[in-house]
Amino acid sequence: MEMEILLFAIALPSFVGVMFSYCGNLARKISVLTGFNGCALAATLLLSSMSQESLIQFASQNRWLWFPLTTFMIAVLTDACGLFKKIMPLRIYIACAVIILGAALLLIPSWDNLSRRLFLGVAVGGCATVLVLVVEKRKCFSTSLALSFSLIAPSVLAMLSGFAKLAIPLGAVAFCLGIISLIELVRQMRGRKCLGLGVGGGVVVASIAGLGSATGFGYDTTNIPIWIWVLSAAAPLGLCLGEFPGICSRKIPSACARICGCVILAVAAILMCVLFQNSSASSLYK
Amino acid sequence: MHLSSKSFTAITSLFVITISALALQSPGEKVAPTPTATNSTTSIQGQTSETTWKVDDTHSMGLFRVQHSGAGMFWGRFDDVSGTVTTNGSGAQGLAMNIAIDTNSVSSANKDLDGHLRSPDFFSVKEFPTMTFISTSSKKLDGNMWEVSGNLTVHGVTKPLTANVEMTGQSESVRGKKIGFEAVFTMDRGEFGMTYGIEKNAIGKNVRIIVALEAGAS
Repeated sequence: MEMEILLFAIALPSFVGVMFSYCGNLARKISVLTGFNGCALAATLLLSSMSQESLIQFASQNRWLWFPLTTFMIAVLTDACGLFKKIMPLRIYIACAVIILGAALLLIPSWDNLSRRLFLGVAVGGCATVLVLVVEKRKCFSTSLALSFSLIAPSVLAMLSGFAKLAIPLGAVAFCLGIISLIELVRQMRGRKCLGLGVGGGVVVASIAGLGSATGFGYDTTNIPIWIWVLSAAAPLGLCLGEFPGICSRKIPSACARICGCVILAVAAILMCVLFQNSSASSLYK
Repeated sequence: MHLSSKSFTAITSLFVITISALALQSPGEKVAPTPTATNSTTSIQGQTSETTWKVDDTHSMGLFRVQHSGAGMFWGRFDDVSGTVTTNGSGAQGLAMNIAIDTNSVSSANKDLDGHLRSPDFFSVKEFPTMTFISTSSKKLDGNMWEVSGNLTVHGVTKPLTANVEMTGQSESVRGKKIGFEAVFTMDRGEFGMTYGIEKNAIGKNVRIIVALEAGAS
């Protein structure tokens, strides 16, 4: 079973995502589009989710599939806005609107209230805006690598809460992003210009972290506190550590700070969860 | 008081008609108009009226067994069982069950495994907090055994199912009348959308379920 999960739930979807990203980078050179990194990551998430659960009757039985489906919708619409590549504010406004729409469609337990979902959409939209600004400014492998570390947090939290079917697709996206960062590293070492994740990639990473954590929280029966889920959703914002005054003007410290920022937030979320679960287990036996 | 012959005949006829009507009434028919809560002091086999028994959730539980990794048998339990059992003595309608199990009460004596069982990988308790069995018909077998057919709803899917039900005992005390049942059946969890681990037989698809009920007369 483990080999089948590794192959069909992680390796294969990640390969498709990397191919999508590569094709998008080729498209950047020959067309007005700005790449398909958002669609690449969302396709990885969707394919990995579909290997875990059938899409048939997802609306009535397996409602957690709303998460990969809405993320894919966000990715397609955001990457399509690459047509307006010179009008960044418009692209960001459209991305935020699409994220809010995606959050409104997240019809999962604990998120039955529409106003709560809209609030979630606004919060994720805010994170996406910050992330896009940093991603567009820092087009190097360290950005992709840092974001891949940040997506480990919601994956591990989902696993700790017992929701393996959500943890595996999130892990697959983190793996895909790690491969993309390695490709970027090879490009950099060969002296070529890094293309970066683009607006679509930044928006989708924020959506996956935010909506994925919301999905994990919605289905959680182990009572992991909500602030731990919020911490895992905010892990990609660790990129901002590389933009602090004194660090942002220097390449290598900035790159290290970006990676450390994401790692620190991700590790903190995982550590807090483990400590919480151990303390609640020991209190049961007092 | 002297009765005229006409009066005497009328009273006698009325008396005979009443006795005849009582004698011709079939044993399975309800005497009282309400469909529930007619207590009987006779044994279940000798009942002439319906009795509805309310499940005592403290002394009732469900057990499930499934094969793990193609090797050992894993047992888990459900602690919260509720519902009603309706009994009467006539053959085809002898036993009716309306049982609900709180899926959040699933327990494996391992906290991490309990969390996994409650997640969408298995019972998805946040979406489907209850699994139910509502009987549609029953057939009396030898001894204290019944074959009860009905609809089982698990994970939002309803399928017909037949269970072997044994009446394990009856008693009457100062605490009231009690009756016990044990139902055994096997379900294919894949048919109910619970497919995690079925590939490569990591976790068996056939699940044996035993529901032990103790109910009191309501």
